[in-house]
Amino acid sequence: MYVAVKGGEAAIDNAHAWLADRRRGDRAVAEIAPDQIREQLTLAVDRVMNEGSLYDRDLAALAIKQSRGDLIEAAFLVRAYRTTLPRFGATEPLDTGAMAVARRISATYKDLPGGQILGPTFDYTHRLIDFALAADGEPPRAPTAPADAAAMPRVTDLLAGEGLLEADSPYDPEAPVGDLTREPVTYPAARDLRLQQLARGDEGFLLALAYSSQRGFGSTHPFAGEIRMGEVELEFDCADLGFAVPLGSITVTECQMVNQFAGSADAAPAFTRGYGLAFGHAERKVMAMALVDRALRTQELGGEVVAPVQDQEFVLSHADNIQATGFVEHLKLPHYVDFQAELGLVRKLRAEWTARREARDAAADTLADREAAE
Amino acid sequence: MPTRAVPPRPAADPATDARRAVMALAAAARVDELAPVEALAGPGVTDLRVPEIGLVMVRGRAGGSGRPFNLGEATVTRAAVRLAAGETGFAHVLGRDRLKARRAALLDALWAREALRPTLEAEILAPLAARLDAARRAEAEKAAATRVDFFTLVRGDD
Amino acid sequence: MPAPLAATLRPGFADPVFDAQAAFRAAMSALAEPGTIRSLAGLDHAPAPLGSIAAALILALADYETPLWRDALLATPEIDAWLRFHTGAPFSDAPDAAAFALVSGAEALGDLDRFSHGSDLAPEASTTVILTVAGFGADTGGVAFRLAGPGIDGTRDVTIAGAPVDLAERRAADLALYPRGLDLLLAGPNAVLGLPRTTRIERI
Repeated sequence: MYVAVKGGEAAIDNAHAWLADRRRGDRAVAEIAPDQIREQLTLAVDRVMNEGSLYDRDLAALAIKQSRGDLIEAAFLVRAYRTTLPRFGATEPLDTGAMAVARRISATYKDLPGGQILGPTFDYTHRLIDFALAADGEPPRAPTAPADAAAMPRVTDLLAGEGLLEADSPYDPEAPVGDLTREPVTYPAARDLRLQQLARGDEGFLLALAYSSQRGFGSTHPFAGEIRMGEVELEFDCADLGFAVPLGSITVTECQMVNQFAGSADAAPAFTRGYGLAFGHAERKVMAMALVDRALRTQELGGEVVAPVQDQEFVLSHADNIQATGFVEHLKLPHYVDFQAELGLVRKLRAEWTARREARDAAADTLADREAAE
Repeated sequence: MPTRAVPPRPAADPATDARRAVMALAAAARVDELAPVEALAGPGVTDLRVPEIGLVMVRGRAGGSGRPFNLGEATVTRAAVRLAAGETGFAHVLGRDRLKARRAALLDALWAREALRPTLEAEILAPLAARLDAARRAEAEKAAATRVDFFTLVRGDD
Repeated sequence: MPAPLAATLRPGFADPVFDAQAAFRAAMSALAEPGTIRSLAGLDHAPAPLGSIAAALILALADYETPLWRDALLATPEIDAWLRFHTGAPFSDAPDAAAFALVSGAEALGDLDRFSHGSDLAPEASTTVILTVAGFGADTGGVAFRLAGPGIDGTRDVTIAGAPVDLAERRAADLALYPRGLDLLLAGPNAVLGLPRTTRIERI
């Protein structure tokens, strides 16, 4: 039961003023600007854009500043902001095959048309703290090499022709696309809704679920078929003009997981797939997403749901960290009336329990007295 | 080689393609790079649609080429103008810059004036395209420097 | 590619955010306190015969996710182009599929049952009908009604010119459907009056 409480306005105002003061930190240290966050904490910005479900680098950077670096709080701010805006429509589905690739690797094929591009990666670093970053000085510019305009088709498109790899679902431009921001999810949920929920889901939750599947709670024998990151153009089908209008480009990361599949009564043995796509450079997110996407397809591929990662309702209804934090954190708000009611109940139960015990003890004493007397 | 499952874009006429190319440049521009349109548009501009910030839902496709799904939203600012001579211009650009959206709409309206196109090319579009090309090439060259060839080592145990 | 947008297309709100919020506020207050007359700035340059108040309300309320139905008198190419441009709303020929209905006058209202009354699970999925009327107040020579229900302390008397004379009877059937039902916004020359599904109407 929810009961409103009143009062504390001055205390709340002062608490918020102190929050702003704490946010500023030591005033002897230069204040951080949102554009510094946007340019120098880019991966935090990317995470907030994904979990806030809104691509806007400046807004995410400002939210990170406002939230003092609490990225879930920042995503919450972004989600709240987006509810104030009208939606003009939907983009044409973006084409990751036409990406201006900054990174593209495959763990399954070493010789890819277009080649493997490491891009700006933490891979192969030694994870040693770099104390030079605490000192002044600009890092050198990134090295360059002559670039060719080789096409970089998706690995999965290369393989699909052999029949060893399941093909993508057919594309019907007229078919409606589910939107969980408009209609509540019901189960079983179609893959479009599942991917939408995973794309805005908490990276940590998806990572833990993906890890659980690798450790045997619903294993899917995955390989990273391809991970790519770079810029894609967005186009908006504009009713005013009757053609697709270029909106600009955004950075996305995509992961194609390839999974061993022994086949079923209806389907020959082949590789199946899991898919991950996210705003910005979000490699861990898309890898985890692709593993969880594949696990959530267990039933459709004739498997038995035995592990949490395969359970749609378990995964989808707990993936959103804004919902999760709302429900967990609401426990700190006043529950005085609820607790008084519970307190009364526990007191009553204790009184009854004590009375029962005294009666039992009394009965035992009586019996003992009688036996002693006999 | 298997073909991609992405459906072909609806065929557009050359005039629309040229207009879309101008719109693409405007969307990628910095607001100051579009500044010359203000003077070129002159007085008497009607704001058919005052610059307005909103959202578009960005769609991806399952597996890269399968059924679309909603990835998440992006901020977009749109504007529409009519010049004193009657040409209308539209803009939808990523982000929340109202001035940029209005200038992009003015550019679209001015593009409808064929006689003005050489001026637009020289003052706005060519320098903008050159900057964007250079930026794209610089990124591609950094990426090319990280191209890697993995060798499979022969195992010793025959 | 459709024909180029008519050079005659008229602007919408001068300030899309604040003007739309003001119109929304008027509509919300009108429905919260049925029978009160809520004045708002109309869009005088809206294409005729779409009234200026109905125009402001629909620009504030409709968007590309709310199917819009309009009666034959309002389905002119110019109004259609204007509504499509400023709201993005798809037009629906089926009244019961519409989130909003624009009705030019009492004679065009027709049977209220043709609009969606929502479902018990989603009563909010009903059609909100924006009906243009001639005016409010005793000096209009209109029909007097007595209103009662949520948002009204006791009863509230209103006089509406240009409302259907049998409005009370036509709305009575709806009351039994609650939570289903449809909400009515009456657009006068410079104000809006709300008759939500919960309001009991009696002719006096």
